[in-house]
Amino acid sequence: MDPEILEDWDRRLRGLLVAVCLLFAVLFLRLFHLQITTAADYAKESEDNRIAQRRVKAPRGLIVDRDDEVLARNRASYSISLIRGSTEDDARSVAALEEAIGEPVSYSRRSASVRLKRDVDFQTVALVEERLRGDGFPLHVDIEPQRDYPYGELTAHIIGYMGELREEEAASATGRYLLGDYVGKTGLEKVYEDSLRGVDGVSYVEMDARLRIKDEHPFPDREQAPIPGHDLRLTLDLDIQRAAAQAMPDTLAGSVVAIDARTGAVLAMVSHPSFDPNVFVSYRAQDERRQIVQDSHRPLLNRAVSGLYPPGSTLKLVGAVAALEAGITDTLSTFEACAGSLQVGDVVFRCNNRDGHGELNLLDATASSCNIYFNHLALILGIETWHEYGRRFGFGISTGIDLDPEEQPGLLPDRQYHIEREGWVTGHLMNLVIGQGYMLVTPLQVARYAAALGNGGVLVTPHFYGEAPPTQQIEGVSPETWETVRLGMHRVVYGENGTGRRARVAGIEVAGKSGTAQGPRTNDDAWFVAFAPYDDPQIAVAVVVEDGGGGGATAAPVAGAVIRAYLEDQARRQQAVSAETLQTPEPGS
Amino acid sequence: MSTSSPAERAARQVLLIAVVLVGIGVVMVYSSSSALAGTRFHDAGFFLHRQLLRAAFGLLIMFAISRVPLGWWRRLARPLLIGVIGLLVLVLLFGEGKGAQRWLPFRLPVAQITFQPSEFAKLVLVLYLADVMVRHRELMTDWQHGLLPRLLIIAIVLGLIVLQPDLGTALAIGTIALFMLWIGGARPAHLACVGIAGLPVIMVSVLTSPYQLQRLLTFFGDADPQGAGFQIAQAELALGSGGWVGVGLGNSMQKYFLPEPHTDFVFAFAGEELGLFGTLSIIGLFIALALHGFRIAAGARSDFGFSTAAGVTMMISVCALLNVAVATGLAPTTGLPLPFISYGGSALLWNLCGLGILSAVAREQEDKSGMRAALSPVTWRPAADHRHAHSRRRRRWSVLPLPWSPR
Repeated sequence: MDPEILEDWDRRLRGLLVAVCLLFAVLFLRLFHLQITTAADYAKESEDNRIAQRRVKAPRGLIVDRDDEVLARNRASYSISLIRGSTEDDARSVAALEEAIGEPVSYSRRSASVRLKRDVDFQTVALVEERLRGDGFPLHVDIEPQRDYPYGELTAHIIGYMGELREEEAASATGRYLLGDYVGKTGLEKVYEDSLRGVDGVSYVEMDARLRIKDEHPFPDREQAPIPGHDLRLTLDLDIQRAAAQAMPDTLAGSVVAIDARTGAVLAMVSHPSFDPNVFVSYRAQDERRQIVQDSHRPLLNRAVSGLYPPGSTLKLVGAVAALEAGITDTLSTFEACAGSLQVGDVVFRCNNRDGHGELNLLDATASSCNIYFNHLALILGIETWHEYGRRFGFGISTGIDLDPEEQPGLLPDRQYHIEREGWVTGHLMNLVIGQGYMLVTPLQVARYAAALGNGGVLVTPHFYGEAPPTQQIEGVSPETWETVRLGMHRVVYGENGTGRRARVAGIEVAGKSGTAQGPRTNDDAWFVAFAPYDDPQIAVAVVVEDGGGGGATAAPVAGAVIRAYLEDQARRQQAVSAETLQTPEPGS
Repeated sequence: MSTSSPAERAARQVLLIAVVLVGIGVVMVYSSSSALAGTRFHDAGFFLHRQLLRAAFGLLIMFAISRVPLGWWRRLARPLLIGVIGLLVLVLLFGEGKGAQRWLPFRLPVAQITFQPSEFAKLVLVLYLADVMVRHRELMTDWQHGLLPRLLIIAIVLGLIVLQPDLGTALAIGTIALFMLWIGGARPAHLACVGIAGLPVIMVSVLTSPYQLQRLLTFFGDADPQGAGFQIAQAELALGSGGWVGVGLGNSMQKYFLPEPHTDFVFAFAGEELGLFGTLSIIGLFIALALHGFRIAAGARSDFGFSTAAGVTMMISVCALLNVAVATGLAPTTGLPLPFISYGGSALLWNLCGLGILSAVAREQEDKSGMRAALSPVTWRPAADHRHAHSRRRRRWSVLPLPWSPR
């Protein structure tokens, strides 16, 4: 190595060190200048002139029914906040506010602006604006959008409600929400949170040292306008929903579900008793909220998707379809005459008619809901075949509806299920085939089942919003079988001994099936499923009334009322369309 | 270890300064981010906990690396360079980030980790240049055979970073690379040509990126000072409100006005809360680090040790200088973090690795040549031994006025 190069390296290294030190020295001078020489100017400027970034909340999308009736909207709410100063100043301002409104105020000094009181009435706003601010307290009134549900109880279980963001949610949604933001907690508000929410914007304000606003828009170019959330137009029809809610007996719990039999679009979904969702978004209604949460009738439960019931005789059509396909019976053949009871093993199974129905074919057995006929049929059918058809009708699995809370899948027991518990005896099948035993369904599943019975075995996916999800044809059932079962359901409503005569509606042919399920309650649960019109089913309905007694007596009129509302709604639509056609001038005229 | 030779002392002092700087960083990150973390995550310690974890991990790695024989790095330099170029290509394809693609996400079963390859590139390029300069020492004055191949490699790395786009980091790395080439013996005239050739690239990058252009215009006083220069104006306000001793830890008002006070502008908040006393302490620590670094370089036993130590020292000094210059309004906004102090994992880790290597260079002075030969996979050239036999460098350095005695 040439010593000259080494010499050169040393020289350069030293040069570098000197350069770095010189540059740091420049920074030192600059810092001295900023922090000491001109510090007073900066301190003054810092006092006079602070720029704060503010978030501009995006307006949340509206939720409307299929006729654009508004079901969820935004209203202005006023909240009082404090601009943070020293601890003592803050305490003084809070004390002044407490004295003025005569209420205790709790707060936490976490950020520059401390929210003291949310959703206050206008009197408080006036008090703060005119008296306290005049006295120099750094309080101000913010206007925040708040959710409002004009139909309250009527749509509570569908729309759901919003609530304040809790801690763990805030951390998981990194950066998208701030603590105290309102987010959808249940129902469609939760499911469609992302599209309803929109994107928040940014604005700037210029303030002085007391954080009084000097300029609302110091940098108009840098501001970002919020992007409003998407509006949600549901498949729900408020008229049908209202009719369904009104038809339910006031004092009894239960549920009504009406879906479009062709697409699965939900037209009405009632869960009784209900609650006022406005209570959950308001800051004023703490007591009411507690009352709802603690109510023993569980109004928060959406019985349509989370209520589990034995389906009773409405389920008999599963056995009918299975038997027809297996060739066990046809429309004419009969079993041993019904004498009001049947002994299987050690157990005696009773019919709903204690005197017996006599000799019946399938159609009459469906119409009069004879248990003994279906017991005979099940004895030949066996649990495996029956279970397979139950599964094809979608029992024991969720329907996949776009609704939160989580939908219950219900329970379709098979032989294994019983073996794991008290062991298998044929008596279990005697119960299952008439919708008793361990069998559990949700009203929504039953509505879908009614739709499939009416439309020739197309299993739809119930939904509230968007394109209809793909449907699924129930395999291995011949058109003749569907026609026979449909005919049986027609006789339920129009036959001489039909149990569902009270579901008749003038002007439309209804087919249905009643059910009276023995549950844990003192009285029986009343069930009715129906579809209409008979020739071309458009609407399918499921009704359950807890403690309602006989399905034909209590539930059938509710189903009838829903179908009547549907018919009236269709007529109104027809009229609107023809009125529009009349107004449009003929081409060429 | 009981030895307290000058070299061992220098190595320990470098590590000590790193620990102090990281400590200041953790405190400042907590103080400036608690409000933001409180409103955004309902956990005032959100950023603190993350930064503490990273700091502990980084310091551990640093202490480990300070014991790794230097020869390993020399052998690793070229594979690492290839790796880093691969990562930079990956970040262009799959990266994420606000406005620019700078981070590579790794989804582990326990947590998601993002990783900024451009910070890694900084250290790897230093190692590569150190190695290559020693390998082709005699050629460095030659344009075609010495300088050009090195410049091509540098251009590839910088080009990939500019494309993200991350002009600030690219400029910092470019500056470090030019200084390293200069130390390595390249002719100043050649380097000046390279610098001038780089100007059009910078201009194109600035002109095609609106926010970079805005930053530059702001700096030259074109735009209104509180529009695009919002951050700078707030940073100067923060520094200006600090005075001699600051407003006290946790009492900053400006932190409520800036969107991300704990990252690139953390120095300004240190200035507001701790005053001139605090800012000078931080700058003093960086100066001490530079003095130590250059001294370690001067006393290095191997040529690779010499150029690595000089390069690492430059790497940290340039980044610190640039960040402080931006925070004090002396340079346009570059988006570079303050080494060891700003919130962020990638920069912290690689800077600490750099210091680990630096102290490894210092420790190398202690090794007996037999020991070194056994540990090092690199064959030592007679030229290097010749240099050490005369121990010229150490003698020369003793004439520099240093605040401590080299012996």
